[in-house]
Amino acid sequence: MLEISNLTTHYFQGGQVATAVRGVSLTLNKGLATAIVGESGSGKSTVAMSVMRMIRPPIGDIAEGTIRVNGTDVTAASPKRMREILRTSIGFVPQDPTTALDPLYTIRSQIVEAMPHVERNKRTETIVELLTSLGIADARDRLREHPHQFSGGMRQRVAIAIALAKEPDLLIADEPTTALDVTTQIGILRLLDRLRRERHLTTMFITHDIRVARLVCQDVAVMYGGVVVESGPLSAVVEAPSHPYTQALLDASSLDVGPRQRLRAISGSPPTLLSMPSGCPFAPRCPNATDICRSEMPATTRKADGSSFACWNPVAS
Amino acid sequence: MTRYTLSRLLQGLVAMWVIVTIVFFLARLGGDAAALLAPPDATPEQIAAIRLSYGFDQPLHLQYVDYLRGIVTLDFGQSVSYRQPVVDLVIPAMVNTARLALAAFVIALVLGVTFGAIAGVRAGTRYDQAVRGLSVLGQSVPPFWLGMLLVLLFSINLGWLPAFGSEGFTSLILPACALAAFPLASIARLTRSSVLEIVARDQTLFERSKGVGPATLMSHILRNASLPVVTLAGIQLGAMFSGTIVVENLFAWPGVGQLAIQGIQARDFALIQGIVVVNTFVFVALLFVVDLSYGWLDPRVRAVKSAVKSKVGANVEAAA
Amino acid sequence: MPNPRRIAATGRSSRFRYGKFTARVTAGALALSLVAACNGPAAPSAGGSAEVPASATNQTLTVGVATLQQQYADPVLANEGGNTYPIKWSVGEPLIRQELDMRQVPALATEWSVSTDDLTWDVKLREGVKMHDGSTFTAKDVQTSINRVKDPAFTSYAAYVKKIASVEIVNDYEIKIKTTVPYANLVFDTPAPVATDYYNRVGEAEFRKKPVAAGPWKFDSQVFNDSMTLTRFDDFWDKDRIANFSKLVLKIIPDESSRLSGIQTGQLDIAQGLTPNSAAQLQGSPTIKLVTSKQASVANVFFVDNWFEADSKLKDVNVRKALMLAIDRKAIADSLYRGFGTVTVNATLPVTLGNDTSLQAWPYDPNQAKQLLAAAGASNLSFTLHLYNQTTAIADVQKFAEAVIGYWKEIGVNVTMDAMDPATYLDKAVKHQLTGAVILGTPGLLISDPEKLSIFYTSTGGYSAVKNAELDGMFARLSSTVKRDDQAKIAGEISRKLHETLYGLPVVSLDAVYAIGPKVAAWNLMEGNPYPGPFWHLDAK
Repeated sequence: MLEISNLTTHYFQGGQVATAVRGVSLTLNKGLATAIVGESGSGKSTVAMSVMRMIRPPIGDIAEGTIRVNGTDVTAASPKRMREILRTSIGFVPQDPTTALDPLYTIRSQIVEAMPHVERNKRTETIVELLTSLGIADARDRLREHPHQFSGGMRQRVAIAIALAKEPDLLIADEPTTALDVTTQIGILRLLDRLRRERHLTTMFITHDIRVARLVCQDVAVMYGGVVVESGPLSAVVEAPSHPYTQALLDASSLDVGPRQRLRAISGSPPTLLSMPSGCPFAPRCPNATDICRSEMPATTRKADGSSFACWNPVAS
Repeated sequence: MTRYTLSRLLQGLVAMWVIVTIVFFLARLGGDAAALLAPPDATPEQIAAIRLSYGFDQPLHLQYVDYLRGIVTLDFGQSVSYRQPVVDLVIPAMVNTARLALAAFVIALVLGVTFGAIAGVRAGTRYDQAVRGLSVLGQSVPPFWLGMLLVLLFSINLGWLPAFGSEGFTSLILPACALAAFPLASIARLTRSSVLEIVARDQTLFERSKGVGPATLMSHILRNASLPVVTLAGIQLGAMFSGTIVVENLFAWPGVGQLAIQGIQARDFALIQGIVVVNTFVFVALLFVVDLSYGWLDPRVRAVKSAVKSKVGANVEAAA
Repeated sequence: MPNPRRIAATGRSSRFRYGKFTARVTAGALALSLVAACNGPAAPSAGGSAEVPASATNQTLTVGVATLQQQYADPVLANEGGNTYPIKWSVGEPLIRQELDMRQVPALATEWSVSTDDLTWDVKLREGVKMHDGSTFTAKDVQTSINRVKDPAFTSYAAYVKKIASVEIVNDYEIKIKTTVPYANLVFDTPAPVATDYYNRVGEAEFRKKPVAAGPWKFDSQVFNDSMTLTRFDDFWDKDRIANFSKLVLKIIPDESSRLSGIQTGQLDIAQGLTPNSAAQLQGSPTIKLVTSKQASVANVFFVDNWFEADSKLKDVNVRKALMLAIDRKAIADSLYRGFGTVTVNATLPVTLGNDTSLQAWPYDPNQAKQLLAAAGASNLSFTLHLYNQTTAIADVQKFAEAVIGYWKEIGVNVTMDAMDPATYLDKAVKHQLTGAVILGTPGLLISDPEKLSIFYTSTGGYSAVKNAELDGMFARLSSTVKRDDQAKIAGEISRKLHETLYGLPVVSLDAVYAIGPKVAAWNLMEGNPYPGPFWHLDAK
């Protein structure tokens, strides 16, 4: 469904080139949700933006690699062809629906734009059906309303409606609950999980919170410093992390931590885009780091449980 | 919506009253109009006679009441210098100014938004640099100088357009262009920065993720970017309506600016008052239209009423 | 051809290139690589030889004027200073008019005489004169006009009305006017007659908008601050002054450069009020000619300290004389005004009644000036020179002031320049709020009547610069004298007195410069008149 291979993406910042993603290869399994987990600056959003070809000069550029959506390499697609792919195959759920929805347009007109394939006279029905299925009451009455008339959670449902209106094969959700109230977060997560199952949506779920990933995802790719450090079935990775960073991430967000127990933070701070080390990006913060870590990028190693990692000195299992 | 409209209307009327009153008293601080009207060798009796005939002998508050009553009935009195009813002078001048201002405004708005929008979307390109350069130029070139240049090129050397005058369409072009340069440049600059800001917003990314065509995308960007531009454009139009003395002078355009100069030089109270009242009216009306267009462009402005509904929405959300 | 003086185009070959207008547009012209429009070969100083067709009926001539002031269409209202005169002289026809050489000649009055007590004027009126509405002119029309101006709204007639005792119609063509004091200019100052029946029918307000009088041009229409359109009056009594074309448009163009553009593009047939620098730009154009009215106004410096009680070195005639001798007036006339200026002999001009022609202009003699100053103990003299920053009466008035101040500096006099806007300046001048010296222009047209000099030289004059009992007496005698010859004698005395006392320095007199385009066949100008018009001997091709 979605195959990313050897993707390298640059940003252009004031005449300098910043490499946000370095040689990422990733395959999303059809009908499953893959979490892309990482801190901010890890390149996880850049991967998503690269898939949608939102990174173009003068902001940045895809320097290398291919991204195949249903077999089509989007890195080589013309702008027109890319719009067609976006219009038919990829649904996008934004991080903050308050800033993502256009405040000046009615929600109906914003949804209609994403469903050009539906016949004119069936559009209202389709939208009402869609919104109702997403848990918006009185959907028919609210079509003429504007985003500011909706609450945060309802807005996200409208945004999801826009993503789904085109009946996509691939759903990209970029931290879809971060901007929401805690009380509504779980509702949206459940909704996304239900939608994936009902519609066989291949889902790319971008999050910084591995706990959230565990609720809705089957696969995971952990990113650090623009590279995928570990990936595979979520259960396998969580149970037996091989990369020290994955280990640290799991420790920091451990669900087993009892009250008054200290969470273990990862010491140091992630590399900036402009000062990327030549070896393993995690090496400066890694407790297991050796000389080779700092000078050479480790190769990817596959494990029997279906996961793989890139580390010179993996965590002993 | 009606409440919004009414409150705006009321604000406008209060603004008008304040300005109209200030003008009345300011004009009377300027000196003895009767003495000014009289010939240099006039006797005190003659000056007294003039004072009587123009009502300058009345107590100030009675003059003020008369003045307000006059405004309401569109009777601004007699111009002491032109010896004509003020209305007959101000209205035709206002119409002429309006013709010029609207022509310049259309040029400034259409070109300013177009150039600014393209520059904003293509920020950093050569086109953008050209637009930015030209708008700095447009804002700094004095209209007088630009007007002379246009006349030199299009009237004297090429002979395509008249060098001045106010009849027909062709005579409108050069003064409108000279007048349009500044607002065009400022509208282009503001549109550019506004578009740039909208393009960088999440909503544009989200819109693009729908796979919509450039026309739809642009309409979203422009409508969002238009909010500050509408304010600026309204103010620019208002400024142009109050007469542009320099351009009117250069192109011998019989507008409000020239009339105002004449009125001020002659200390023609009634005329100055008439001009200010009509101008204030136009300005207030323009701001009113600008305010209404906010409501039309931005649903959040007319949101007062629907606050209730969104609360209901929040409850539904919590329940779900 | 009845007119002896045809257009005299100034055929001088001077080609100054750094005029005011040039400087203002040069940068732009260079930027666009434009070529100045008027670079043809020098034109011969022709003009007089142009053929004047008997009729050019369908022609319209457009005159670009700097201002028509308040733009009164009504020739009676149009009495507020020279800039309103084009209408006074075109739509209106007075009882006595001024000829192009400023002599007073009969117009609607044919004869006039005054009683022995100098108080009752008997005026015989011209018969068979048609008004613009077709009615026949009679004594009633004179009376109507006089009665109109009794309304204090006619401010410019206040002094006139004050002296009128009664008006009596003897018959249709004779009228008696009694005055309260001897009033030499009574007939001349009487407002132009208006059509009585029409006036009574439409009323005052409507009449002001659409006047009916007896002048060579009928009022057609006007747009305020834009233009006034006049049409030829075919039944005008004086056939010599009927134009050969049908429509005259007076287009108000305040900006000089726009008038210049207008004559270059052909939008204008006549451009009025050109400064010498712009005029120089047009010299050499094959199609545009320059015509001048010689010595149309004088640029004066008045020493207003003489009006006040306070002590001042400027009260010493030798100091004033020194200041006069210090100025190289020839240089100012030739360089600053590019030959469109003349060294003025005296405060009275050649066109002024009784002007003493034997007087000699004060020479340029800086050495004597220094000696005079030293002898008067005024070697470190300093004062302020006040002026308006713009006036139609003196071209480039600020440059003029700078030049004068420069010459004074050379003899060690330190003068501060104080320029302000005309409204403020004239207001202050009238109210005697200025001390030291002031600059004022005196239009030749105004001071063709020597009595008008009293505005500047009597203690009660509007712009009085001096309190001098002897001068006050002379002007009092002048105003109570009604016989022209006696007036001329007194005016001659005044002329000499002003020449030697030098309360005001008549520095240079300036020509009024017009540019005329190819559609104009002939135009005679009024001597000493800085204002546009009269449009009498103007013909189209």
